[in-house]
Amino acid sequence: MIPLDKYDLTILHILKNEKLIIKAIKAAKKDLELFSPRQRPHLDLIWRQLLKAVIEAKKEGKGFNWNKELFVANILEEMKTLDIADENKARIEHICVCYTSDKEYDLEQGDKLLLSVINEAIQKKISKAIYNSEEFDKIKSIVAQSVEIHDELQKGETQKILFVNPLKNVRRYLRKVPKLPTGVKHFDKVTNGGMSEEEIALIAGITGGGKSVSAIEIVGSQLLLGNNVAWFTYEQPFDQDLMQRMVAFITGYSLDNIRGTEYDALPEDVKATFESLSQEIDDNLTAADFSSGEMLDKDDPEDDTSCYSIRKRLEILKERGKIPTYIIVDWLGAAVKRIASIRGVDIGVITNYIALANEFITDLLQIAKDFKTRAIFFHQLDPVIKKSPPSRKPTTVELQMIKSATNWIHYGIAIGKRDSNHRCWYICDKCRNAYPSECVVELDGEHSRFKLLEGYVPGRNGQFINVDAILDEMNENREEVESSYQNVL
Amino acid sequence: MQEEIEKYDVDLEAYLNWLVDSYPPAALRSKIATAVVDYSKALTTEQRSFPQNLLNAGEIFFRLSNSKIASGRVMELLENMCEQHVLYFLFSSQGINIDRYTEAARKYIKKFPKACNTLPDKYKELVEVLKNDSIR
Repeated sequence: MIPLDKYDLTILHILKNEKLIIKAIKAAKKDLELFSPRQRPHLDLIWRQLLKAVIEAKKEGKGFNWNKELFVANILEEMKTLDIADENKARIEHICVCYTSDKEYDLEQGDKLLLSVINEAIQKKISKAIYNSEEFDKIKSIVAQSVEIHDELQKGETQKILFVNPLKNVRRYLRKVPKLPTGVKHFDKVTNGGMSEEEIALIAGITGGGKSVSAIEIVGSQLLLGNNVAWFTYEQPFDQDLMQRMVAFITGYSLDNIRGTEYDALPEDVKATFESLSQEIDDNLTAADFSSGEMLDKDDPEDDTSCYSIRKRLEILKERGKIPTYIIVDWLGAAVKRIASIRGVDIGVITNYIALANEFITDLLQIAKDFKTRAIFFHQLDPVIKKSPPSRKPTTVELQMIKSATNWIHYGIAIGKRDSNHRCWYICDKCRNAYPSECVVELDGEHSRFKLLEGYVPGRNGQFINVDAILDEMNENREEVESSYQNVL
Repeated sequence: MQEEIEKYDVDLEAYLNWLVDSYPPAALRSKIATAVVDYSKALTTEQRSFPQNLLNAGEIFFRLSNSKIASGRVMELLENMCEQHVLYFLFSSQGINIDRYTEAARKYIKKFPKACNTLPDKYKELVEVLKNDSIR
């Protein structure tokens, strides 16, 4: 069997995924004027049949659902009439089998890992697979028609919002939603691979417990991975301290050497690393500093709604085509104070505080759903955790004043009290669809990050210990003792 | 305990390895007979998440190597972002052996020998290699 190459896999992946079909149609329309001729008439054939299937399905009111077997039969029928090389005919048949049978793709190396690399290719201009033949005008008009249909379908959905019929949309609801890793090892470990779209997570820690370090880690990692990220700070301004820590994280240079040093006085290699990276990542970072407490727009009456400032910025980013993959909000208590001061609410009354906090969280959840993104926000644990030993496992239910917050979140993570070696618990006690998980991390203050430690457990005196290391040391000592006995004997 | 082991169909040695890494020495004696159900849940979670973590690691490596980051720093960042046992499988499956990840992979397989059950044969062969190395 002819193994499928990355262009074949691209079109197969598109056929199997409704969202990608929509993306592909839209991408093709933009690129119609730009693609260059390629000798892949077999993909051109599948592409044409795909567009025809979209149009026919719309006429019958089926959206993006059509009869797979009929679709494949049409492809094979047209194939007979075209002058296509035998090798490419074999590829078409193979693609059709993979499409209808839901079998694993028969990759060249039988390796699922390759598929993740292929996904990258889908992001690029897939219309390069289309053969620029004399049928160009026909393809162009079919694509244009498909785009209009797609836009109509989208509008149609938003108008019918009174009731939903979840059983009719089972296919959409039961689709596999991929998780996006943050790039922060311990966060991805306890959440089993990161977060999916429309999910929100809470990270709770004591004062000085590492919440801002976590924010810097997640923002920095996402930027290094080339993703868009939005960072909203309500308490700590984007000043010297935060920026020093960000430079330390991104460059790997020690924070102790950066503190107290002007930018121009930093070593040339550090400046060069930072400048070359910041050119690449600057566009991907959107940050807003609400720490000064000023309103977005003093004359705007909507600015007293809880997540208004965040939502307004995301709408601007959406217009620019730069929806962030992760939204970071640091931190909930400071955000509640800001909203309370705008509305003139007294948050000394605990019920007011709880109501505003819950409103903020539900608004943030709605933003994650509306913009198809992920949000992580921070909050403080009860002061009692600070007085407890490091071996005490914290939980997100012990949130300062708002235990009900965990009702709406998908992941609740608590950072425990550190021992004298800067090691602490990192516990995800609420984790959607997975067994709650925990690990031990160590604060690396020099680089403004936490390090995941394997095989560490709390010892008797409250320190976190590595059992293996102790056993190894005992074995080494035993060998020394044994050899010294030998010498004596 | 034997009943629990059979009920949840877990490997005794793997369970003990996981127990030692998960609880302090003082608590081990009381936990040994009762934590089997926790281990079986942890094992199920690992079986589900390990393929995802492997894909994530591939994606992360792809992104970092295609950016302007220097190659030395790429490996440093990769190790910061991904667990060592995942990196072992990521690179070894492509024929690239990096010694410093082997020990972590060995320890992981001792606790979760069935984590690669849903992956292609190439990964299962690596599990056998790790098991054989640890016997030697």
